[in-house]
Amino acid sequence: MIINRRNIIFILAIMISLAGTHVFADIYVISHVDVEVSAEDIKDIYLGRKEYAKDQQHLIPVQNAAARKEFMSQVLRMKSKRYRIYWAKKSFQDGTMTPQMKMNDKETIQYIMHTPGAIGYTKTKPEGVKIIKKY
Amino acid sequence: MKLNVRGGVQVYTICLALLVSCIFTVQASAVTDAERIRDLERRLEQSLKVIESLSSRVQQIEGKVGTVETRVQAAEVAVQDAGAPSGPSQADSILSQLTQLHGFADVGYVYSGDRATPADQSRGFTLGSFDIYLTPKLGGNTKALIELIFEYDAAGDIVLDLERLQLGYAFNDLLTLWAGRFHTPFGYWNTGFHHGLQIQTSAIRPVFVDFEDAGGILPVHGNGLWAAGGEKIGSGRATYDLYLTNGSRIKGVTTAGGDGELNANNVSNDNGNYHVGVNAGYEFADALDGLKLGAHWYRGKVNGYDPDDMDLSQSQLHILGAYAYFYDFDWEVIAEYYKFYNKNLTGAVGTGTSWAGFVQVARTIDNFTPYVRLEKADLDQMDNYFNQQASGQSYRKGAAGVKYDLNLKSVIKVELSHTNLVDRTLENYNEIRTQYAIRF
Repeated sequence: MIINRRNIIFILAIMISLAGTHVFADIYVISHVDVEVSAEDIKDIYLGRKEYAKDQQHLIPVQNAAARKEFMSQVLRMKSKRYRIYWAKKSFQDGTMTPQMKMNDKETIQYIMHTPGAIGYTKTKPEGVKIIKKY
Repeated sequence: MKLNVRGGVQVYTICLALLVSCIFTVQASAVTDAERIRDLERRLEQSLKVIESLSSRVQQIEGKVGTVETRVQAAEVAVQDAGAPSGPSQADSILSQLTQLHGFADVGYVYSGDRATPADQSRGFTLGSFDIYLTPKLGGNTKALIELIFEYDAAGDIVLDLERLQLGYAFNDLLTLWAGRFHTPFGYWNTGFHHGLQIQTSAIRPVFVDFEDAGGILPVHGNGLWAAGGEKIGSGRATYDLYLTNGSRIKGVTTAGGDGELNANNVSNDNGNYHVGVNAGYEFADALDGLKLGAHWYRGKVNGYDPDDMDLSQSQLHILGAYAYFYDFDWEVIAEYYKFYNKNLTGAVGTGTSWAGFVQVARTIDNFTPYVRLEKADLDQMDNYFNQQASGQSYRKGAAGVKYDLNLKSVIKVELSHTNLVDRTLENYNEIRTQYAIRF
């Protein structure tokens, strides 16, 4: 293959187009308005290590099937399979329950709006809830 | 034809009567039809209302069914997106959250060259155990963990064990107080896997941390109080366990011709001495995410009884240990070390030192996880705690195997091992073991 300017431009164009397919969607980690937790607590909450807020309020994390893949990679930085294995062990070891699954943003937001202590995540910017951090 | 007047009047009268009769009859008929029509209209309206009501109800039911189907589909999509091997694991997860019932089961085949064990017990198809546990949501800060296990003993009789019965109260992240029967929180393996064969990589446990009735030499179950918690320190998290239990006793000590098996004193404390223990650990984060290091200490008096339940001796069990656990999905490393400073309190008094430990390394490549484990126990045979137990002999063991994940909830394992018994009896033998284990 002859390496000339045209070939280099062609290869760069392919690389840029491929890179474009890996752009991540926005993820909003949200909570009920009365929840007082920081962004640094999110991973511990979703791993069942932190179950209470500073004011001893019981935290209720929920998962969102529609945004789960992005949440795992962008926020927890874990493979989804590892996360499920982690919870299989965790619930057996100390009885902590796996976070409930909601099916989409709408259901997640509705649940969090009406459940004190609830925490979740969405792809769309929500209203009526507290945004802990946007990823 | 002639008509007379009288006869004509009669005829007219009859005709008139007939006419009037017909008119009234027609009128009466018309009135009846109108009523029937109104009645029919009324009934039709009622029927339409019933149809509308039923239609609305059907739509509601269809909506609910549709919502459930959508939830399951959403969960399945999430699982497929995540690249799970197969199966609607998350859909199952949703259902399991409703039922709050989980468990493990396993079956297998073993071929052992152990000549000390009757051939019918060491070769052939095996039924492992059927283990179910419940984590009911009680609301607020109360917690419960109940585990039942069904298994066959060596004699072929089915045994039902109340493996765990823990009732707890979580004050905050720093303190959850449990009461009841629990897995003694020393080292990592005992609380990490215990009867959960599907979640443990190897087919069987290291020998010295096996169950009391299966060859173990440690009090792996405790009945009492257990405080546990953790706090974020630095980027990681410090954890602790502090517990007080009835401790154990040795039933039918081998020195008096018995089976020499530890018993967890589930219903009472036989010698009035409570066992205490503490386990402190640190879970790393960031670059060392997945690593936990810890140390533990355990102390308590253990009495030995002859087969007629006569109290023969008392020993002070004193353990100091350390452990390391690393898991990042691709690699799993577990290492545990136990140092014993036991003391004979009756008979030939004195302090002996013993130790036991193991290292296991596993590497996951797609659905395959090959692993190796080395373990060793040097147990002082002058120490009553060990010499009164049938399994209290020193040994070396090497094992290698492979675990294959059929999916997230079922695995097949094949394990080869070689064991050397090095003091009470001198023997070495090989063993091959296969296992099919599931969780739900």
